[in-house]
Amino acid sequence: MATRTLADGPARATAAPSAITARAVTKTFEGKGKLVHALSDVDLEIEAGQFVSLIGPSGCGKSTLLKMIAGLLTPSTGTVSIDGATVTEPLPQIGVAFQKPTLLRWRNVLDNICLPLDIDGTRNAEGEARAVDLLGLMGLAGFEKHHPKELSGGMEQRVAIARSLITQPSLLLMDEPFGALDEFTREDLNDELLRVWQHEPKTVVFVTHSISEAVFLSDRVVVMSARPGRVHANIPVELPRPRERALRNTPEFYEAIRHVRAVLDDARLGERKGEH
Amino acid sequence: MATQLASSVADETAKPPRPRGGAGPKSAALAVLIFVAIVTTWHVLATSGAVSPLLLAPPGDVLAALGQMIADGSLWPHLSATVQETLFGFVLAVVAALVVGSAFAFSPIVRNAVYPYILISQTFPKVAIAPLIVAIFGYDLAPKVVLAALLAFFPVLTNTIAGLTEVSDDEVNLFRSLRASKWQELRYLRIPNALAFIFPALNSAAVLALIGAIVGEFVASRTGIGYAIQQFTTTGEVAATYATLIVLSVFGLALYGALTILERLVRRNR
Repeated sequence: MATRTLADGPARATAAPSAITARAVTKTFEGKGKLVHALSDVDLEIEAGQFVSLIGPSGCGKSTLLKMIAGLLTPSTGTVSIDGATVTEPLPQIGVAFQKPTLLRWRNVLDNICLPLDIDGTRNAEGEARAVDLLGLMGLAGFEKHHPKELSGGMEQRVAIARSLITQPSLLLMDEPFGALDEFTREDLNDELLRVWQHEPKTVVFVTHSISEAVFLSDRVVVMSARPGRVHANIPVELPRPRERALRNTPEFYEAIRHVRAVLDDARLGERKGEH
Repeated sequence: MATQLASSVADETAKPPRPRGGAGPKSAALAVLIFVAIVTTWHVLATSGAVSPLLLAPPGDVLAALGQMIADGSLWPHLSATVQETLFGFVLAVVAALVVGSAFAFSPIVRNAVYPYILISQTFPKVAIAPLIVAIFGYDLAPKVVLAALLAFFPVLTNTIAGLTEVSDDEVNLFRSLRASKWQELRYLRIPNALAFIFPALNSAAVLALIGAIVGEFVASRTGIGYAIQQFTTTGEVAATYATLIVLSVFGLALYGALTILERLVRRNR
């Protein structure tokens, strides 16, 4: 493997991006004596290398769907498969980032990023060098020895993303990773995420509440409706790449947001009608 | 603090390191002042006749008695007995609590079934059964070790269970997504998490073990600091009584210090 650094050299020879297929997926939870239909008959096709956002009102099951792709939940009926293999447990080619950074407070930043390598038993000098590169790419160069309690929320989430990338996953699953951050920090992290994604092409599934974030990041926005959760619409985002900060000020960007918002309103209003 | 911050992070401030406890020299000066005040008050109370000499000896006399005990070697058998009882009891309690606590943590059925009884035994004043324990285990080392262990056991047990089980769903999901084995989850998540709970409990356990040992000596013994205190009190050797209490206090502090060093060593390597 080449020893070029991540930040300067061209993309590394990573595993080819993964493709995802969900077929007739339903998920029913049992809670307090009654059944909750979190997902109903979801079909979803995600091509290798795409950046896809799942967006929808609370309770539409977008996090549930993501956890099924991650292998952390199993569908009640239907199947989820990655690269043709049915998901029954977390697969080795995934990286996951959660809403909370979930850093281990007794480990310093470098050791937190290297946790997946420790668990794989593959931590070595090369892995640590990659961790340092990723940290730099996330704008946190020099913070290797800091502990989580010394970091702000945005910095912690940067470390969590570096950790999810350390194993060079072909599929990155992100469950509202920037949901708890302020607008400015969130935009910074969106920029950094795209930068990393362009260096290491991989499939990304990104759950969010933010329309502008979904539009800025994605090739496609999947709009979901609630009660029961299902796919309401697939909206391709035709904005050119690479996308930079300036894109956020363009009329095309606003137009794409308006479009997604209209579809999302439709999904939510339809749901409200259905309640009565 | 690192200086090579990327521009995107420059406006985002890292939390400052926590201030260190106290304001250094000022705190030290105040501490000395408090010590001097206590000793002076003590001296005045004891020598002015405000407090009967049958109840309080002046600090000078206490120090002399302490020196005498050390010089003639009469302190050592007592101290060594109490130290042994406390340490054996403490170690026994900690090992038992860690084993039982881990078993509880990994079997919710056992935990839920047994927990009410643990709660009962926790609220029960265990020193009340000291005479019974002496009756069962005799007059020597054993009953004191048992009492010390009994008192020290519960705080370590409850904190071991809490530390091993109180991990968030996100943390568990993270480890599952990394395909960690149960052992790895224990090694990298649950045990390091539990240490933060267990070490504070060890400090209470050490103090409780010492209390257990002394109570055991009060009930029935031929040696030990508790025995010495009783002897000196009955024979009216007030200065010697206080000297023994000081020895007890120094031993307590030494235990605390040893545990602090142990904690630092373990945390560095987790």
